[in-house]
Amino acid sequence: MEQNKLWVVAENVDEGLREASFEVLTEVARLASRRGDQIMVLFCSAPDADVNKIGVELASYGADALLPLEVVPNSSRCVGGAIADLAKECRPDAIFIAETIWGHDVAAWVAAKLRTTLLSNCVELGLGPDQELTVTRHVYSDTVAVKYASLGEQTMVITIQPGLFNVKKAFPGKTINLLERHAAQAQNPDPVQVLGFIKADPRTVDIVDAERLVVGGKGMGTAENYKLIHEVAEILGAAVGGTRVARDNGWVTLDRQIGQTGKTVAPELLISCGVSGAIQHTMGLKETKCLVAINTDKHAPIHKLADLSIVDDAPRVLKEFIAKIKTG
Amino acid sequence: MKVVVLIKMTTVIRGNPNRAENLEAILDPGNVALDVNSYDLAALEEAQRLKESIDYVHITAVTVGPESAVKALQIAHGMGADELIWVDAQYEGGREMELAGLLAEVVSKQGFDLVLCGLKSDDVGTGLVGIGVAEILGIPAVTRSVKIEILPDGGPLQIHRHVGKGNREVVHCPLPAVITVERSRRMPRYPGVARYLAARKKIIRYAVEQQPGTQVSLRHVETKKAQPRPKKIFTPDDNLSAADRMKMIMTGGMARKKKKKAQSVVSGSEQLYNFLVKNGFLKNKA
Ligand SMILES: Cc1cc2nc3c(=O)[nH]c(=O)nc-3n(C[C@H](O)[C@H](O)[C@H](O)COP(=O)(O)OP(=O)(O)OC[C@H]3O[C@@H](n4cnc5c(N)ncnc54)[C@H](O)[C@@H]3O)c2cc1C
Repeated sequence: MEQNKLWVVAENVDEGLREASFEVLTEVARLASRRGDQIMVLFCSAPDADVNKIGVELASYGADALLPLEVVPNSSRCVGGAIADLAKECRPDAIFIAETIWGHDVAAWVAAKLRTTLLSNCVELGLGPDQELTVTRHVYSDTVAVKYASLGEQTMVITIQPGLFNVKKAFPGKTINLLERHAAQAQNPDPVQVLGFIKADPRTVDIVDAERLVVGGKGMGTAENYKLIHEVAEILGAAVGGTRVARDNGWVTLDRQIGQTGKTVAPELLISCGVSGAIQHTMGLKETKCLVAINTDKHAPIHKLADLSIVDDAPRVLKEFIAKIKTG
Repeated sequence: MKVVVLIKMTTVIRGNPNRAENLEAILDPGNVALDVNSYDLAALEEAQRLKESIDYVHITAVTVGPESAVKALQIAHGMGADELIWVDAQYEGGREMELAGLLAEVVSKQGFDLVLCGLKSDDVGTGLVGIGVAEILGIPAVTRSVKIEILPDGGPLQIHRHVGKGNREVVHCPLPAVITVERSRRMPRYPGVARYLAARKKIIRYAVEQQPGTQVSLRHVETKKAQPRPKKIFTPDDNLSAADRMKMIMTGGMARKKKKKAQSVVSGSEQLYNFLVKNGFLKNKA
């Protein structure tokens, strides 16, 4: 473990590792190959996880070693503690984590336990004239960039903003050194007890967080018709959004406007009704997974982006759809 | 119950920083203002709500900073804090853990059951101080709280924490503890003018012998105007036409997708219904 100077802490999600963790790994691997450093990836593995398979994948992104962690209990405090203990022993140059909710908490615990600072939400990594690590953070609401260089005496704890770096398998066929599972039992168990999970209410959730959206534009015609959008949203458990025109007409509030001057959304499903698909609006749709467009104009640009285009009168389609659901 | 709220003033950039030519122009005193950290206001609001929900809650607001930091205490008093402590010291970035150590000392001296603070600060915040205080005091911490409830009969606190996508996790945490507060839909109340003005007389000032401090192993390289970093560049599919690839880049990756040919025999609502059922967004009722 001692020769691994750069550590990347990967985050688990249900289907494997989080995309943001691969972004961090790709970027760190780019630096490591220039500096001739070894990268070790740490991740909290379930006992039944197929670490070999994960290892092969991580290697192709540039990881040199993989250390599966087994921390009991699995809270961010205990995970942070286990990583800090390892870091005190092995003294890596830096520990990188993606700035997610879990990532931030773990990084903060690691930094607190190492009594060092936390370079959170970094946007750029680089190497200085003497090959020392440099990191850039944006401060004052992203208006000022501050760059720091490592003096190399302490382990730096760095979190990286997700969504900035491309993911790239730059090292196909590379092999990984799979280390033995490291089990850590926290001496004093975390007294914070997790009791449950409450799913967001689609009626009040911020559209940025919404998993499903029904969006109306000028083509809905009237405020009365716009109520159909709300009804369909209710049926599908979706949140309501709108275009600029819908907002100007007072059908939605500004915090529900999607696009250049509104918000960027990332739903699994978005039903777009009476929306032309102007670029200023579709910019805000780019993370949408599945798009249904209902527009009378078959040449409307929104149809080009849609997974399902319905060339029809939107209020009527929605009305019939609601009737169909209600009658069963 | 003794609640200590940690607050601070932050630097807010006014005007449009994109128009500013350089860093000096952005940070020109005419273009910046000091304001109470928005997350800390949320923490103060949460403390007030606790006070309203049970009989005895005593709120102490603590700030560390130069003379200008006093305003944060005035606002805290205006919002209902009972005791105000100003620690006259200054900590530049990178020394968060020393600051956490100082705060831990102050709150221990003050006596507390619960320490509340903002999740992070608006200006240069790293989001480390709250967890740092908990670590130094060796007490539990809960981050990103949006709702705190006191369970009856001296039970633990029940806390709703934000865990992304608008979802919440419910946790129980025994006292004493540190809780960091997320901004939420609960708007912080407006400070009362009379209490705001009366605050200055109540402030207790601690002067701290500033220690030279352990050096953080970082060298400041430069500070400059931030260039907005482009989000990930999407790499379009090779077998698309040039025009489609352009479109894909412009829309940020929404490819021109193969779509269902409009089936004129099926009405719009049928198409919608069938599509939603087929893709698992809706359960088939039939
Ligand atoms: C600087 C700038 C920033 C902007 N920012 C934003 C932004 O953030 N968000 C945003 O949304 N817009 C923004 N806009 C405005 C944007 O350019 C468009 O004007 C706007 O998105 C159009 O909204 P719309 O689709 O609702 O209306 P329209 O473009 O008028 O489209 C209405 C559509 O409804 C269809 N239609 C009509 N009747 C029916 C019917 N009965 N059934 C079905 N379809 C029907 C029509 O065929 C048409 O395609 C911005 C513009 C500028 C210049």
